[in-house]
Amino acid sequence: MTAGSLAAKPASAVWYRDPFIRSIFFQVVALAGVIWVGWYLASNTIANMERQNIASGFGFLETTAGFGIIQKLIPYSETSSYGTALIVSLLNTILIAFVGIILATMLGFIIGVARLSNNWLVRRLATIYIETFRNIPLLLQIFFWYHAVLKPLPHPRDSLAIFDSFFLNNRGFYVPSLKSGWGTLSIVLVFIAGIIVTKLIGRWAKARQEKTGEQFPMFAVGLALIVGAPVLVWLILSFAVGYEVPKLEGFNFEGGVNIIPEFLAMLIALSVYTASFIAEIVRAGIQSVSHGQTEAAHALGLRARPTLKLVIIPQAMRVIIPPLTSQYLNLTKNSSLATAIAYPDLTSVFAGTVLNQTGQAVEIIAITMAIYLTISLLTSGYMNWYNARKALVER
Amino acid sequence: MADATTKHEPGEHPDLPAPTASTGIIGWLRANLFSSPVNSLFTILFAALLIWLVPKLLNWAFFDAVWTGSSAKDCLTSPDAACWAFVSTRWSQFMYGLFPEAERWRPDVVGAVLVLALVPIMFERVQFARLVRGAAFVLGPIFVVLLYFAFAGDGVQAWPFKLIILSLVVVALVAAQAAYPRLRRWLVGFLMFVFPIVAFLLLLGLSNDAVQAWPYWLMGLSAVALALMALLPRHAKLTDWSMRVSVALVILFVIWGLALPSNWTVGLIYGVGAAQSQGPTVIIAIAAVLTLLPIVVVVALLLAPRTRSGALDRFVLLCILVGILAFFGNMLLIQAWDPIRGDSPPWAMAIAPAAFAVAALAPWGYDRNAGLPGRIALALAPLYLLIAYWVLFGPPDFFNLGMLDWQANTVPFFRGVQGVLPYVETPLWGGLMLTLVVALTGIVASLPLGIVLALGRRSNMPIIRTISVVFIEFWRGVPLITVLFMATVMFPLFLPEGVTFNQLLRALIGVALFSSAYMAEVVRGGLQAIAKGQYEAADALGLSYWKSMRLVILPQALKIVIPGIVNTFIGLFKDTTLVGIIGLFDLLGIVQAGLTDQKWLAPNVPYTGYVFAAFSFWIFCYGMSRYSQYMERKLDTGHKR
Repeated sequence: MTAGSLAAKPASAVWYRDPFIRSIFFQVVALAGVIWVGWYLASNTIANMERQNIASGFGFLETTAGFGIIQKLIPYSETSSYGTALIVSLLNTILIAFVGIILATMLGFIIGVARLSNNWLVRRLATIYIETFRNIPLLLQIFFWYHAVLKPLPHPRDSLAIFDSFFLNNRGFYVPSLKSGWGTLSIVLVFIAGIIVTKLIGRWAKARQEKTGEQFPMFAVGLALIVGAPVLVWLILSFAVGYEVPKLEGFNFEGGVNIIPEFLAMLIALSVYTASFIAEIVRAGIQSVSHGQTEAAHALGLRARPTLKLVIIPQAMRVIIPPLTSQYLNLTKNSSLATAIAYPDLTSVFAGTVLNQTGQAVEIIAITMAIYLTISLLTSGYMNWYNARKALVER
Repeated sequence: MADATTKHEPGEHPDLPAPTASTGIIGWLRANLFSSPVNSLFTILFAALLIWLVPKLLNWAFFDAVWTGSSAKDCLTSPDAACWAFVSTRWSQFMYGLFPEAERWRPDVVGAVLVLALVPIMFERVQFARLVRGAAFVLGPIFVVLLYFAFAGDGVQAWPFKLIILSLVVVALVAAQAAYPRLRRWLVGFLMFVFPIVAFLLLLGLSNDAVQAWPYWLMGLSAVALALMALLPRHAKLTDWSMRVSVALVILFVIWGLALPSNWTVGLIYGVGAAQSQGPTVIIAIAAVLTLLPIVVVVALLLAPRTRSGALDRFVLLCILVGILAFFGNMLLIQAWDPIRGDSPPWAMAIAPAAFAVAALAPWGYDRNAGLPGRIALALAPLYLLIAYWVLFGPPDFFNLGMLDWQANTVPFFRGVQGVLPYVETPLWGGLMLTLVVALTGIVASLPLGIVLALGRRSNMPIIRTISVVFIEFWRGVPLITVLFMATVMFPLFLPEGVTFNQLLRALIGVALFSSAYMAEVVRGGLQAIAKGQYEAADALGLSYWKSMRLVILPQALKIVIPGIVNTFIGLFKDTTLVGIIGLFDLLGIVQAGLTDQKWLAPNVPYTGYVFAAFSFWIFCYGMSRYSQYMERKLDTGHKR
């Protein structure tokens, strides 16, 4: 047989069996199907909206909202626009997600490490925690904390008081606040500045170590800058300007900061639930580092602490970070369950109250979904970037 | 004991026992609880916590709890403990929602059938001895509790005995399928093709419309029969009884076609008549011819020689073409016919020819010699189910499309059926039953959809890949609650005027789309984990894409990701609680609704209700996660590190 006859098409090959033609055909069919479905849905929607006299467009964002929101991070009143309500509710979502992520991470790491403890009792308790909380629906946990624990608390008059300055009652958790308004802001600014400065020093320390081999106590310095500095500012401020302690005035407390029960319930439920997943991720991450690594580190003469810091944790983090990020994402998306207990988050205020008032379902659902989608895509984009950077370079 | 001072020859020294401090209970305690001062401190701290907490919890849940009563007054007799009276009074509501009391045997039967078919499949090839041991360990204590309940109240209760019998039958089936592997195949087939229909029929019942649409029943039953034929061995020949079944089906369809004055065969005559006065004659004529074609083809089919497979191939291909043509021809006809009748297009009629063609084609799907057309016919298998579904349940409830008036056509027999299974509309469904319906439908729908999406995402056709990626990332990027909101407020806008969707169905679609995206990512993980050599080996063997996927890649990939799939199922099961937010009363929803009852306003009632709901969900989720661990161990053919 010659090469030519091998290269020639077999006699049985017919055009409709050609993979290339088939692939074109299937793709055209798929595309046509998608376009047809899109067109069908869009044309129906337009027709229905015309028939039901539903307004369209995004003009409603400028209209006065006319309803109040119980928790707001920026000025908002009933005369503000729907657009402002959107931003207020988005900030509330970000707030609960941010605080929830911090708490869940702390709790999750503690329990994940406890799960690997060589103390039998601690290990068992950690397992019980994980198996209990991750197998109960989050919504149920939110309901539990809100309806069964926080709402039946006593009225403000019979508040549970701690040091006569923290008060817990059915209106929420009242804590003292700094007297001047810019106090909190300056603490936050110092915190952010601390992070930036730590980052810069870290870069310098690394360069120095590579050049001279001298180590720099990075952890201590970082801790001092990120945690120490804000605490210092806080202490100075509290001596300088003092506190405003919540006081019972009539039926309710005045002054201080009120953490509303909806926020508390969401926060507890979200962090307790997500922590059980994070704990498993942490356990799996640490276990994924093979014991040979520890033995090799010991053979090199490293002690237990440097082994953990320089060998185990960096390798475990490579396994931990990607699923951890997706848990953060889950927590953010799960914060939309706030609508069930009326915590004023994006879904509850915007896809709930605003939707009911304006009736512009298409625009509002689209905006809501787009916001969550943006958060998700940004996070997964970051995760892909991180993975690419940290991936093992294989031969 | 050997004296330590006794001298021994080298190598003759008897083995000494290990030091007492490192063996037995003391050794265990030293190693596991008091290995270091810090550990000892933790142990004492947590032990103290447990000693303080556990009796409190036990008192709350059992010893101080209120077990009987009828209102909050009874609960207040012990306000610091659980009030199980709340749960027991509302037990049936928590299980069935507002499902009419007289009809509650129906969900029971569906549940029992599900357990009977599913459990044997779950425990494949269990050793007999292990099975007996496991059953004795697990079921023994449960039986004791059940027997206690049977005799605890006034008189003997029947339900514990029913449960005992059911579990014994399940154990027997598990044992039987280990001995007769064929039973398993039948159970799988039953679960895939028959159970959904049985479950739906039993849960929803028959509305008057459904009873009156008796011709659809014929069609539906035929389609079920076709689906059952998918279970036939692959080597069935056309001359086998499968062919005869097919012929019987064709005859059924013809009867159906002729039996109805308002049916398409007769509509055809009207259509042609109308053509002369109203519509464009040519269209009507073409439509009429196309609609009649299937009959001609089926007759020709029955007479066709079946000697050479090549001829058969072309013939079957022709049948498919005719089926498609007939479908569109029928639509045309309906369009032309519409103004005369003055009602909206009876879409269901357009299904008839398609079903007709499929019915005629089915046997070729099971013949090795059938080639590509046969495979197409086989690929249409899901369509049979779709048709069956539409035909059986479609007209009255789900697609409120302008249906013909079947009243005039009801035959006495079906009039008799009326009232046997009264229609229970879905707003009455609730409780655990609804939770299970939503979860199971989501699970069943999301797995195949997820596999298709995962394959699409791994495809090297750019458009298919892009569509899959966009679909998956969209659903994964938004919270389920916004999906459900969309299903509630936007689905009605998506559909043509007058078409309404049942609330439950809307939620089901939302849940299925949402979880299929997650499923797709899990399956994709499995596909990526398969070594490239496997793909190349499959190609080298000359397997087509679908064959290499079906025979080589997917079995390995799905096996790897079983834990991931079960985790997705667990997530889906927990997520079913969200349907409560859009107004369906699942288990959590109905417990929550019960808590607002004025009659049960007591401080311990919310705790009781939530703990009950939490425990119910926990049982299912924990059971699933244990099962996934069991499967992981069982399927682990590799080596443990």
